Amino acid sequence: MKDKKICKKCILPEAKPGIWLNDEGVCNICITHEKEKNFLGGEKGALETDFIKILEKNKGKGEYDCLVMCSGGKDSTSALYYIKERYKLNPLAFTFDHGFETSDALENVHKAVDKLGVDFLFFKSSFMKDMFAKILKTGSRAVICHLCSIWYMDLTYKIAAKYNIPIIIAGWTKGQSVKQPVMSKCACKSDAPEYASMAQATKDFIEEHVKNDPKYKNFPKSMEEVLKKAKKRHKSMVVSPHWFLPIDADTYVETIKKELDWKYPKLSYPAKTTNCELNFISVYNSKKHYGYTHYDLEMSRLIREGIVSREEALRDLEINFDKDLLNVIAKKLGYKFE
Amino acid sequence: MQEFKKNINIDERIDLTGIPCPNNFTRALFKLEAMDDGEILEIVIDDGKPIKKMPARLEEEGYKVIKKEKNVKSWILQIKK
Repeated sequence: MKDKKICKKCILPEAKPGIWLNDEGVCNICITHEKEKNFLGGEKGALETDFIKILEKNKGKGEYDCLVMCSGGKDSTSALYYIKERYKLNPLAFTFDHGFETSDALENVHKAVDKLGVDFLFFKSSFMKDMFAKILKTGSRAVICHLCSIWYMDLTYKIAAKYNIPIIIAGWTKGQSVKQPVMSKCACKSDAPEYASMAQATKDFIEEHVKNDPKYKNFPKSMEEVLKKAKKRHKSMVVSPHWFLPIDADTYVETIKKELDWKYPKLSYPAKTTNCELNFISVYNSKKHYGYTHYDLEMSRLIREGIVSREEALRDLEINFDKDLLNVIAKKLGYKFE
Repeated sequence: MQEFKKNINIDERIDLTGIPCPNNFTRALFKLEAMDDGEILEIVIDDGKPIKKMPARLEEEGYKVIKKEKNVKSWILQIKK
């Protein structure tokens, strides 16, 4: 891929029509951001006191106060930690594995639930494998993470309904997209210009390859469908404590290292994150098809909000893996990168 | 028979001007979730898309918009939980 011009304020590359740079080298997303105020920060932002009120109102209503989606990464593990220790709730921790979760991540989850003494539900399934393989074999521009998030949010809502849990806790940070009632980090902000091409490709893939496959006849066609079905089934809201906690990432990482023996995975992309093995393939594909990934979008948002510096983002987003690793993972899907 | 207008007690107020859709809606919903049944939330939102969309969306979520008033370039909504 040839070098692209990137925004002087954030790190987004020019990718028309969704992302374009003006004469000063600043992208349209940064320009729009300047005009609008932030949802989560500032005096107009949602407050931790409101978050606590919501938790209190729902506490003790059922066997569990909340369902915590826990991937074993720093954000979800600390979310679980604060839910138990700061907000004094009785959570049910939940981890799903589509067959590509790493042993590092799962080890972190097991240590956290053991040390915190919370109930834990582990769901492993190969259901998505054929769909992931099809993305590779058809050369689709669909984003693996988008399809996966549709699957795991549907699953999460079903589990919340099964256990009659009113609140779903995610470990999403301020850089990840937000939308009520679900705030999904990958699939929801499809109306924003920077996500439009990716969202359309995922939609096209579902239309062309998922809808007609008998195995996936009940697979939701979009995140909107997930939400619609979930709303009919059971009332639950998804929130992340990281939107309200007055604690920065460095501090909570130190806390979970000390209290839960949490460790960074040996290899991850972006640096200092925890993602599944397929994430490497998803990143490779997005770079190839779009010239950027959803992590560039998330990171650029964090830069605009002053949470990370541009230099830090560029360093963390540097590609740190090669095709050999991709092929080890792709082999599980019966595919080989040339 | 003489009719007396009751003064409405506002329990919470938030200014959502300058916050675009859907974040203004999310913020209002979040505040409403934190309030008790029967309480009144007053919000200030921008003219244009927010006022066109929000009242209907709030009603869809089961809340009652009891007052809608234009205030130069913004709107005041009172919502009953």
